[in-house]
Amino acid sequence: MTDRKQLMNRRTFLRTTALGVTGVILAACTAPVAPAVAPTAAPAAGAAAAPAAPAMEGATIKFLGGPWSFLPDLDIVIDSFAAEWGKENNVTITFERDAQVLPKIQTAIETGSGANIIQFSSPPAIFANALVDVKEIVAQLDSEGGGYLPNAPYQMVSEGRWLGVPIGQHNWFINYREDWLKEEGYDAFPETWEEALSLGAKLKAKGRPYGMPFTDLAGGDGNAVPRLVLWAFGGKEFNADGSLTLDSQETLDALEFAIRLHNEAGDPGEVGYDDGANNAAFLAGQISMTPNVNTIYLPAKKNNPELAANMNHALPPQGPAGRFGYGSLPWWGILNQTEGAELDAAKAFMAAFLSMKNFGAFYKAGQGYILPLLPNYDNEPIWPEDPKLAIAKEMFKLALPAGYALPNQTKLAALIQDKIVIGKLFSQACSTGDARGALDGVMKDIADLELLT
Amino acid sequence: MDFATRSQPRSLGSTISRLLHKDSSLGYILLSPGFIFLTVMMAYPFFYAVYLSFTDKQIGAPANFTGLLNYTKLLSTTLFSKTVLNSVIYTTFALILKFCGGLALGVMLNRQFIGQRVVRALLLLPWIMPTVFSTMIWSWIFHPTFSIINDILVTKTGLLSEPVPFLLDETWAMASLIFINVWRGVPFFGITFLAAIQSVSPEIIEASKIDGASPWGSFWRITFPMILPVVVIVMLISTIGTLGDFDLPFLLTRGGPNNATTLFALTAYTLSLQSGMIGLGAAVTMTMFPVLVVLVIVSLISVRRQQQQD
Repeated sequence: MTDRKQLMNRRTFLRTTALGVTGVILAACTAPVAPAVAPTAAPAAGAAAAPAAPAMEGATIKFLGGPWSFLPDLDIVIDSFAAEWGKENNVTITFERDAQVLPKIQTAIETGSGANIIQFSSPPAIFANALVDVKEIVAQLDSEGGGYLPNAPYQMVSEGRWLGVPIGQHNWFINYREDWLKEEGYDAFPETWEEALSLGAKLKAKGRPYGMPFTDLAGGDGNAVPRLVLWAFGGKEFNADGSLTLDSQETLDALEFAIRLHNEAGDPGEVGYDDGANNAAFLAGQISMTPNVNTIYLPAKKNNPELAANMNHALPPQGPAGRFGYGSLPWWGILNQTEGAELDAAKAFMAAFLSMKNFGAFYKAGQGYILPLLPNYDNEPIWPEDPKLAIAKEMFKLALPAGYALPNQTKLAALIQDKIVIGKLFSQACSTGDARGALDGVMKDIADLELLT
Repeated sequence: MDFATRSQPRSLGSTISRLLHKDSSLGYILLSPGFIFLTVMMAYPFFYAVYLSFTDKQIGAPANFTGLLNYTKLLSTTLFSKTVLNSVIYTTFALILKFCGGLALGVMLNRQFIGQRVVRALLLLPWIMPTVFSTMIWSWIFHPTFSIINDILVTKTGLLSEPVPFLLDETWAMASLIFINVWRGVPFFGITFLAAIQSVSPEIIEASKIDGASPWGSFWRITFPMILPVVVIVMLISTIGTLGDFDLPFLLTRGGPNNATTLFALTAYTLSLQSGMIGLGAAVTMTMFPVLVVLVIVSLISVRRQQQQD
């Protein structure tokens, strides 16, 4: 063997390769979870009010959002309008829909390409730097709709800017087994939480517990249901001036009640429900009540008509502080990389589609799945014809947002919602039976979030 | 045409030819595509992540250098201390159990029995099955309401009066997570250990038997020391993978209940992607780096020692 051969023999080659492979493993394990992309360009200042708006004719706008998987008809309404409107205005609108849309939106923002209009449901505050102020569209809708309900500015306004246009709200109403309640002598679901508890205890004794998603594993139910109880007992996360007020006697009262409800009337698994678990449990006949939108009733009508006939809906019961509903808001926004003709086209398309004249078809197709945020819809023919969903019309003005009673959402409030902190509070209280301990734990979490923001 | 012009192609060709025929340079030439690929695809994201961890980078906003602020913030949160503790517990228990299970499996598969090849192939199933799919099945098995195990233990047989809170209780949730990781990882350990055991010369084992060694003694005093380099490498590679595990806790528990199963990668994901705080998320991943560097160095030393033994 020559000296030169010794420089790169099999062993050296393997060693070098092992070093490379190890480097790959190391880099893969420590690489950022976020897409590795070039740093963002500074936001296009004043993009919303471009001085010389070019004609939108010939523009192409890209829509990026999650599909309406539960009710594909909603996507059909959007697509049909877009096709027609695009043809009339010589604008091409393309749609990209993905259930895991968050990384795609973030990639579009960071790369400055791939999307103009986005559809999302979590608070827009995390994209605040990347969204165009859409106050002109909001002003038009607000004017024709009789003024937005408080839910809308709360979720959408940040530092005086409308980050998006809310397209409606999901409301949680009580889904209950009418036949089982009749056996207990009830014609309808009780009006108060205390009455609901005493009924629930009777039902649980017969193996028909409630399924209250007191959980931090469900982004929808876990944010909504605990707040129905929290607010009914006078607890809330924030004061109107922005100060935190979760650690209060009212919150402890709500938690103590939730613990009783869980122990005496609840499904033991409800503290670990994900968003589909209560639907599945109700459809399987394992629980007698759960707060939800119409995503139990509509599938039951289709696949289990007997169950659909034996269930009904009611408003959330009242507590010492009153009756409260919860609304979560899907929204559309325009990314600030959109400029010129595309920006004009995106704004014009949103203003046209979301106007009362055109958007009623969307609500109608939803059959109560998504409700309006404008009071003038009260008299529009958009409400479900099915009498068992008639409750939707009463619900839509009742709902409050997560973070109540803040007038506008803050980053901390958005994180509390994103991380399902109130769901965790109720889950911990019900799992351990220790309301004070659960509240102390969650206050530490909130302190962490405050520190990190 | 002058001499220089005429001689240049010949000179270039001969240089290339010389390089291709020299073992010392040929190796580097062959390695270069892989090296360039690694630099572009791995080194750039890595160094970009290092840079981001020292900035206040948020989604859609420019990154501003903030020094060690992200790290000091993280160190003062209970979320991070819980993440570190959870990751240590998860990795330690999962590795010990995978080692024990893998060794037992390797020894068992080394014995001759009918259907040995079929069993070997079947045992690999958990490892080759996509994690998303297998975790989805386990999430049904451990489901808070529809768990088949609870159905059998509580409803069907009445052996338990209350369902087991697989994913509801903090300790049970971590135990469930570790169990699935072990279930998924044991086949790889087993097959790798089996290959190492089979490379041990049967003559040595025979000689030990003739000298009166028991099977137990023969295994621990002869076989195990001989497969030790493989054991060390497998353990180290698995430590890196387990410490950075994301898909299993993300799909099964989302880090809950009460952050009891939040691991490094999941915390980084929730901070960077869900909350838009890219800089903080990058800082979480960077805190793993020193540990991983130590493990990789140990791993490389082991590889080198094994090569020297060869």
